[in-house]
Amino acid sequence: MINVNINGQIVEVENGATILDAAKKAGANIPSLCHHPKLHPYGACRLCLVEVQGARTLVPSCTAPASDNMVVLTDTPRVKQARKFVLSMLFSERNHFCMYCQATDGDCELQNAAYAEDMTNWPFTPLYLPFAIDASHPDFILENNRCILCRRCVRVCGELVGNFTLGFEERGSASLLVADNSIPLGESTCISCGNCVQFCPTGALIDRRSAYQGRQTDLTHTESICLDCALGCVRVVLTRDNRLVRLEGLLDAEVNQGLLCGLGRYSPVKDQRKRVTTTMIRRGSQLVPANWEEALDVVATQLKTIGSDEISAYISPRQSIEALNAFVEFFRDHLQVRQLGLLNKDETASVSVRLAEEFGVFESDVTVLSDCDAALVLGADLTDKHQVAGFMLKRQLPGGLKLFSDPDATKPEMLEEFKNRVNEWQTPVMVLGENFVKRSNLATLRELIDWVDGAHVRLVLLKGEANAYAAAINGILPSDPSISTKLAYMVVGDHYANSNNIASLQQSDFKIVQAAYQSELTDIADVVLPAMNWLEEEGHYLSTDGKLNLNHQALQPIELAKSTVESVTRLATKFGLTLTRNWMSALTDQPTSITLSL
Amino acid sequence: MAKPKVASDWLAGCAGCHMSFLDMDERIIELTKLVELRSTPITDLKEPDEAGVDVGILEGGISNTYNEQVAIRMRKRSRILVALGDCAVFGGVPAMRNFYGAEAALKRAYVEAESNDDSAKIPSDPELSKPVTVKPISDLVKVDVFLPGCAPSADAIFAVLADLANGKIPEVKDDLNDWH
Amino acid sequence: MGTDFSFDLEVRMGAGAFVCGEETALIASIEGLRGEPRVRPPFPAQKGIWGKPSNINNVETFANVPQIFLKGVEWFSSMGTEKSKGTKTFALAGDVAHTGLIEVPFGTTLREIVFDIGGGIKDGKKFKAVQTGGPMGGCLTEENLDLAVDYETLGQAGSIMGSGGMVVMDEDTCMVDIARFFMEFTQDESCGKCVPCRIGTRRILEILERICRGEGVPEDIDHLELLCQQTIQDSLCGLGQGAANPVVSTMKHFMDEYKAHIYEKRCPAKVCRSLIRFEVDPENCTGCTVCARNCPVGAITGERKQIHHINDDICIRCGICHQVCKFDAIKIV
Repeated sequence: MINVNINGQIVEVENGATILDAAKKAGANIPSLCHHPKLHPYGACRLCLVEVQGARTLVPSCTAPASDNMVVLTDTPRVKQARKFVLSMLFSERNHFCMYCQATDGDCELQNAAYAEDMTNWPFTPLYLPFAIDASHPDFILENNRCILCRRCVRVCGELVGNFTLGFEERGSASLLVADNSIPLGESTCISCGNCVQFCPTGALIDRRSAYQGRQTDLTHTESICLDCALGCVRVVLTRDNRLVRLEGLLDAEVNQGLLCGLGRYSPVKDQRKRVTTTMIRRGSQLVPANWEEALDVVATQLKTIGSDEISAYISPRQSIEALNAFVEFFRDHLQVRQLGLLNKDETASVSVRLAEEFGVFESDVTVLSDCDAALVLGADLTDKHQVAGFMLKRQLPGGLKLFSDPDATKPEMLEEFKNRVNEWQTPVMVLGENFVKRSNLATLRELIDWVDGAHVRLVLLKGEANAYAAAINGILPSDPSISTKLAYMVVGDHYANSNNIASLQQSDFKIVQAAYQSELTDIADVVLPAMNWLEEEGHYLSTDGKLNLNHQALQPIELAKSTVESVTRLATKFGLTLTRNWMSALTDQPTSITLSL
Repeated sequence: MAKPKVASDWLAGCAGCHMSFLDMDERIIELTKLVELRSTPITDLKEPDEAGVDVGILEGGISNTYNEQVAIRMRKRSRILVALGDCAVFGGVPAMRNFYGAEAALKRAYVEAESNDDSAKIPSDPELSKPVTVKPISDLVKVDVFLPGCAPSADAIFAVLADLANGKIPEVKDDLNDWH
Repeated sequence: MGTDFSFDLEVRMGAGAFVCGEETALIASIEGLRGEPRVRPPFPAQKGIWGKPSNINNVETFANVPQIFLKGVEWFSSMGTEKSKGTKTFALAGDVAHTGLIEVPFGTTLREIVFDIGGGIKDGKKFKAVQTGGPMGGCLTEENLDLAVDYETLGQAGSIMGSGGMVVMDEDTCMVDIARFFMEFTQDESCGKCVPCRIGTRRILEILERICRGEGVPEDIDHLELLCQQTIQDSLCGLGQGAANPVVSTMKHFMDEYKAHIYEKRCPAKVCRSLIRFEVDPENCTGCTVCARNCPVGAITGERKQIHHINDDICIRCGICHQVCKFDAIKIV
C-alpha cells in the first residue's frame, strides 16, 4: 500500500493504483471523458491532467500510477486552464447543439464538464462543417456531429465484447468513427449488443427507442436479472410512469460487468406482443371474458374430475423459483400429477443434476471464461445464446487465446484434438451446451467429466435459460410433446411460445393457459388466466453457475394480471390446500454440479 | 443618481429570449425601479441612444450584413454588452444553416418551397442585406457577458440584469448557466 | 564474430506516417495496430513490443554503436562537447550552396555548418534564419550563428535537435509562411488520439492560413499564443508537444512580420500570394513578350516592343513571369 497526498489529504491506495483512483478515494473530483472504470485507461482526452509536485509537466491522472508520498494538486489555475482548453477545443471541433440533443441537461459528460468549469461560451467557434449521420442500424443512430472521439465505443466493442466492429478511419482531425471498413453500421459485423451506446459519454450514439424519454434522473432504476439465457446478467431496468424505457447492464455485476447482449438489452423493448388483459373461458368457439373466481372454479372442477394420470402440467423456465415451487407443490405433491414438463427442450440442466448425483461438484464458475488460454465450446452457439460468455472468450483472441468452437457438436475430431493438446495450456476451459448434451448419452458425458477431472480443465455447462437449472433441481424436466392427456395446465407467463409448446398443448383435450401475452397457446385454450411478465412479477432466479439472484419488480402489473404464485395459491384454496413448501430447502436438497451460492 | 440605461435588440433569433425576459412577470416592475429600459424590439424606441447606454443586450446571432450593422452599433453604444441566449452565444439553431450554405437555404425558402410557383426567384434587391456565415456575436464584437440558454430562464435574465444594475458583472454559473 | 550468438533481423516497412517515429506509435505500427502513441509508463524497456521489454533507437544511434566498440570509448569521447559526445548527422537543406547529408562533431558552430560546409547562402542573398530539428524545431537567427551545436545549446536557444534537420532560410523567406508550412505538415501527421494536438494544431493552422491570406485580426496573436502554449503543455506525445515550436519560435524572433501581415496586410518577404502583386516595371520592360507567352493564365497583355501589363484580377501569383524575365522588369510588390 502507498500513501498519496491529494490536495492536502492523505489517502492509502494499492501499489499500481492511478492518481485518478487515489483522487476518487480522497473525494476529489477530477473530470475525465475518455476514461471509464471498465475500460483500460487510454489517456486521450487530456481532461484529467493534474499538477504533481516535482513534475515539470501536467500529468494525466487516469493513466499515471501514483507513487508513495506523491503530492497531487487537482484544482490549481494551471490545471483549470488546461481543462478549459481541452473543453474549448472539443466544442470547436464538431457541432455540439445541446438544445435538441437527447443527452442534454444531465446525461452528457461533455456538457457536465463544461458546466463544472463555469463555461458560458465557446472561446473558439467551430467551422460548422457537417459530419455524417449513420442511421442505418435498427437499434441506434451514430451522430458524428456529437462525437468527441474518446473511443470508448471502439474500446468496448474490442476490449470487452471482442467483436472489433467499430474503429477509426483516417487520422488527425480527419479521424472518423466507422464500422468495419467504413460501411454503414446496419450492414456491418455489428451484433447489436448496444454496449457502445451505453458507454458513450455524449449524445453521439442515440438509442432509437428510448431517446428523449427521460434523463437518467427522470427514470426509475431497478436492478433485475436477464432471463433470456442462463448466465444471470444483471440488468438495470429504466422505467418512467410505469413504462419500460430502456435496459442497461449493471457496471459492477459479477458476471456481465456492465455488458449486455442484444437479446438481453433489446428483446423486451422490441416486444410487440399483445397482453392478455382479462380472464377468459371458452364458450363454444369463442373465448369470452370471465372473472377470476369463475375461471378458477372451472379449472378446479376439471382438475377434480380428471384423474392425475390424465393431467399434464407445464411451466416456463422464465418463471421465478417461487412460482416453480408453488407449481411443484400443487401439481406434483398434492395432485400427484406425474407429467410435469418444462417449456424448453434444453436438457443440459437436467443432465447436470443427474451427473451431480455421481460426481458431486464438477463445474466451474462462468467467470473462468474471462481468463483462460484455451477454450473448447462444444454444442453451444455463443453468438446466439449466452453471448456474454462469448464476449469473455472473443476478447481474449488478440491475446492469443486458442479457441475451438463446435456449436452443433458435429466435429468429434475437435474434441479429440483438444484432449490431445490439453497439456500445452495452463488454463484451459471447456463449455458444454445443449447440442452436445442431446447428441450424447450419459456414458459419454460420464467419460468426459472423468477426463476433465483428471486434466486441469475447468468445465462450464450452459443450462438453458432463466430458471431451467432451478427447475431441474426441483425435478421438472423438458416436456415431451408427444404425451397426450385429457387436461393440460400450462404456466406460460411471458414465455415466447414455440411450436413444441403448441404441440404439447394441442395433445390435450382441456387446455388451461396462464399467460401474459396472446399467442397461439391462448388462442386454442379453454381457460386463459392473465399472468404477469418478468417486469411485474418479483422472484428469484438461479443462474447456470449456481448464483441466486432476485429479479426486482420494476413495473406495476396491469389490472387483472396475477402472479403465478398467487394464482396457483388461489387455485389450491379451491382444494382446501395451503401451500407451504420451502423453495430454499428444496434447492439445497439435491447434489448439484456447481456449488450454489444462495 | 440616474438609473442605468438598458437597450436590447434581436438579430438571427426567434424572439424567444425576449419572451423569456417577459416571463419574469411582475418582477419587471421591480426591474424598472433598478434600470431604465430604453430601446428594445418590444417597446417604442427602436434604436439605442446615440449618447450610449450602460447595458446593451443582443438576442440572436449574426446571419446577414444587417445583423452585423446592428451588432456593431449596439457594441459601440453600450458600455457592457450581453449576449442573450444560445444563438447570440454560439450561433444556435440558425447556425445549422452553415451546414448547407446560404445559397441552398435561400433556394429552399424562395424557390423550392411548396408555396412557390415557377416564377419564384431569390430576391436580389440591392437594399436587402446579404447573408453571411451564421456566427456568434463574439466573433464580430467583444461581448462582456454570455448568458446561454434556449431560452435562458426568466430567473437567470432577472438575476443578470439585477447584478448589472447594481454595477456588478454577473457570474453566470450553476442555476444561471443553462446550455439548453 | 566467433561466438555462438546469433539473431534474426527482420525489416518491417510502415505505411509512412510521421507519428510512427514516436516510439510507442512505432511499436503499435509493428504490432499491426493503428499508429498511435501509448501512455507511458509502462516504458518500452519494461513492456514494449508484444508486451516484451524492448530497446528502441534510431538507425543513427545503432550505427554509432559498432564504431564505439571497434574504435573505443576514448576515441568517441574525444569528439563533441562535454554533454554531447561524438558526431551527429544533419540534413542540410534550404537556401545554401551545398545541400545534403553531413556528419560533424558536436560543438561545430552553426556558422561553420551554414557558411563553410554549406557554402553560404546561394545567389548572394542574406542569411535570415535556420530551422533545426524538423517540423517540431524552432528557428535560430543571426545572433545564434556562433552557437556550438549540441543537444543542450539548441534547447537553450529555443529549438531542438530532433531529426537533425537544418533548413537554412534567406531574406526572401516569409517566417509566417514557414510557420504555416510546418504546421500544415504536423497537422496532417497528427495521429488524432489526443485532443490538444488533434484540435489545437488545426486551430493554429487555420489562424496562420488566414493571416497568410491577409485575413488576420489583432486577436489572432493572443489566440496563437494561448493555443501554442496549451498544445505544447497538454499533448500526449512529442508530436503535439513540439508541433507549435515553429510558431512560437517565429513569433518570438519575427513578430514584426506577423504584425505586418495582420495590421498592414503586407508580407515583408513578398511570399504570401494573397498579399503580393506582380507588376511590370515600365523602366525595364522591353516588350519582348516572353512573360506573356509563359503566363499560364493569360494575365499579361502587351504588343511587341510595348510595355506589358499584368492584370491583377487574373494573376495567380505563380511567379513564372518573374523567373523568365531577362530584364528584371517584373517586380513583386
